[in-house]
Amino acid sequence: MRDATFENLRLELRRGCLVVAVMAALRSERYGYTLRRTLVERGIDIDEGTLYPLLRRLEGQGLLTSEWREEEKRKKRFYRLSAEGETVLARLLAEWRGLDGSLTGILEENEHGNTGPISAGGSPAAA
Amino acid sequence: METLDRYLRAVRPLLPRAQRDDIVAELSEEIRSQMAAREAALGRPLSADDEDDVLRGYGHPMLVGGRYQAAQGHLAFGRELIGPELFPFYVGAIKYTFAVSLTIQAVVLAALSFWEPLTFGGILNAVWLHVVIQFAVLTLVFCGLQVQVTRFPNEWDSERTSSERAAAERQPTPASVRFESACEFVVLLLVLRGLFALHGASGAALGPLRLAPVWGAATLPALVAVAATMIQALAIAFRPDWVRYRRPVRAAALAVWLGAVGYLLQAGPWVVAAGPRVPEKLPDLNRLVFHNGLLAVGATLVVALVWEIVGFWRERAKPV
Repeated sequence: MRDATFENLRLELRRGCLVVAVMAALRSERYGYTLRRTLVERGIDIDEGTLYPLLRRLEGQGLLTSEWREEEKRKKRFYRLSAEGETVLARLLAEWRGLDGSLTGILEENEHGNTGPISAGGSPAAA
Repeated sequence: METLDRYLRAVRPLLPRAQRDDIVAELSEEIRSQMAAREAALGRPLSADDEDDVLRGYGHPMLVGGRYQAAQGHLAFGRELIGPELFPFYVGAIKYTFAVSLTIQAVVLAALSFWEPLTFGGILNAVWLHVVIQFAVLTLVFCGLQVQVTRFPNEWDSERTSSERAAAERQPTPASVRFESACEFVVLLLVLRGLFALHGASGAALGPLRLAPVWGAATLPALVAVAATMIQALAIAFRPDWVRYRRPVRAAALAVWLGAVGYLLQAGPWVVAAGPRVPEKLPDLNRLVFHNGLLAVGATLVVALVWEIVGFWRERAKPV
């Protein structure tokens, strides 16, 4: 049960990062297959069924641009971040850094504060 | 890459119409890239199982199509019953079913108003029950579908899963269509005879009881629906290629039947005392036999109507 709970929470956490990861990876032009490969190589596992609808949605929101081009005798759809996408990504990354800073602060408070460090069991160890 | 072509043919009709060609082209290219990479890694051509593995990563065609739809949402009651991929199709099915059935009910009720004045309460009674039953049936169907596509992501390929099933799903022969239509005509003739008898018996005494006059008004639209379906069955017996119109006509007839049952449900009692003395069990007879019986008939008609509509939609979605 604990494993299932952890797995659900882990997926929720990773799902929240996908949009930022995809937008960040598309600062360089890529097509779907290479984009997915890049993300997987960096530890962001995203299945094909999620990636392509996400790309369409972001393009529909004006955050990406795309075009069909022929490469190695095959037509591929290349995506890249639009100007608006660059602006939104910068704001999202600022938000991300803010959250990271806040979380780091909370964890340090736990380590040095009254409650003591968080043990592997999840409960505060004796100070 | 026959499997890939079949997969894309299965996905295509489930995509938003405006982007269909574009999405299919993109998916085709990406899946081919993935299969080429796997072939290179294995150092041999992909087997059918390898191809299935690649496609499993994308999911059942219904899930793929649903992810591209705009109306994302989900239905949950504690646990998720209908996921975000199927939710757009669920909403579409509800809108379509309600639109068709409410339109036909409006026409039937308008026609019936010539025989008996209708009240707002009566109309509401006739309509709300259909709405509730249709909503419940559609929700159950899509909950089952969610389980099916999640647990069996590769069970979309009827041509591969069973050659016998694939053979059965091929276009029926003209002889079988004619035979089926002839049988349908005969059965409907018996139903028509029964309806005429019911229409004639409306108000007639049956011992201490008699059928309420409401049966006369309710059977008329049903007679028309049966007659229309009989004409169609006869036409198909002579012109088997007209079988493609069977489902819409059946669906319309079922909707008319549903309207008649709805009218009957709000128009009780269904049997009344033939004389001045009211039998003791008369209210129980009306409630237990006629009311519950009509509810059961109504539920069956809703299921049949949904079956015809879904069947018609699937037949239209098949590539020519």
